[in-house]
Amino acid sequence: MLRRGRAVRQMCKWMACSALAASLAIPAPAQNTDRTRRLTQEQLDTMQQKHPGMAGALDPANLAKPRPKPPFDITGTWFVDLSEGFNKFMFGPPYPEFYEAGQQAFKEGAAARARGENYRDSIGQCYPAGMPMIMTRVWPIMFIQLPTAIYMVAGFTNSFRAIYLDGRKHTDPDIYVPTYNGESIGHWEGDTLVVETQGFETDHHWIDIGLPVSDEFRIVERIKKINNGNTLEIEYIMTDPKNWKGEWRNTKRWDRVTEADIGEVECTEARNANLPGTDRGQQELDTRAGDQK
Amino acid sequence: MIGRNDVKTGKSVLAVAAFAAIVGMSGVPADAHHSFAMFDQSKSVSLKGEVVQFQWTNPHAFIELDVPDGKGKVVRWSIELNSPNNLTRQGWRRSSLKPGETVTVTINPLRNGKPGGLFNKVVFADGRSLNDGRPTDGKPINVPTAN
Repeated sequence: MLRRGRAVRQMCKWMACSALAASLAIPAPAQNTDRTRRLTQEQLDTMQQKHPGMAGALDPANLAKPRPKPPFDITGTWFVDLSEGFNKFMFGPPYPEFYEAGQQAFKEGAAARARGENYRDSIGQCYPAGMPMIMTRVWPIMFIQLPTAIYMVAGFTNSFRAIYLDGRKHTDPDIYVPTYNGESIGHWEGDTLVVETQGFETDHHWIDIGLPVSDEFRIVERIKKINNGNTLEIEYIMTDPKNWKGEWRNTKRWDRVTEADIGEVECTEARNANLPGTDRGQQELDTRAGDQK
Repeated sequence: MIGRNDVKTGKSVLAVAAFAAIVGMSGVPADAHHSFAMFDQSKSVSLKGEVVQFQWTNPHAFIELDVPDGKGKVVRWSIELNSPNNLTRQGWRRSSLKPGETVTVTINPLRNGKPGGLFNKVVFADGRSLNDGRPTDGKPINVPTAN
């Protein structure tokens, strides 16, 4: 009891002390507030996201460097050709020989569909579609081609790709932060633009019907412009030695769309609560049913 | 009011399907935000109810509809539509549906029986109607499978 009383008195002393300190701190010395904080030019420079020693793709000097004229320019808005079937937004069949995780995805996916359920509904939960699926979301995509890079923005969730053409190499994997669209570097081989992409985020990153990819997933795109410049034909050569044997190949086409623009489109989980075709929407319907009981 | 018809036999739904087939040919197909495996596209359900909310948002628009279940209760249905970009091409506007308005909506229902579905068509009190450009001929679309 005595001990507790002493503890309380001690605490009161601390509290009084801190209250006093707080009251003294109210007219805080100006030099301790964030507003007056000043950084040196060197400190400010360190805070910038840069790759020192390597020109950015939009550095005017990099853009102005003499380069051979590219065989074609893919600047434009494009829409995947689904004339042979809606499911042509998928990259198979044909499929390569999948190892265990892929085979399991086929089985689990088929079972889920048979029950009328989603399987790996990650895009429905607003995870990025990632490459290669972002190319064929049944939404338009746009490319802007500059001498140093091609920039892509997908209509679906404004997913972004940069395909560097300025001769740089892939970033050291020890530095590169894995992304759903990967890091793309392109070069010209005759009349073909060859784009190599690596550095993929693997979490909730699926192809077609829930097929997984690993950190060894690589994509080569061989891009040709055909049909008087109004169609892009891209051959996909995909490898992932952890998930399938050899090369997974698929060729797709995109037609030029002249009366379309890419607008801002977000996926928010809260809004998906009203979409019964998503897992979140299903949860919402369950919650409502529970409330009504 | 909930009416359930099989596409192959339901007269009213056949009419809807024929209409959709004509309009749908020139329309843009449904987008692929997610698979439509959950919806039974061979079935069509007609819901007469009161619009609670019509949300004009990407990647999908949606309708929340309060529908009397015929047993004295009102069930709220969640109905998903195509994206506004696609809907605009079918004549839709943000103001096309107003809260409190009574309409009849035809949907492909969820397979699991929960009160939700994929939008086919809305018929307004004055008889006008709007669809969303997706072919609704009973053949499934956007149900990715391995073969």
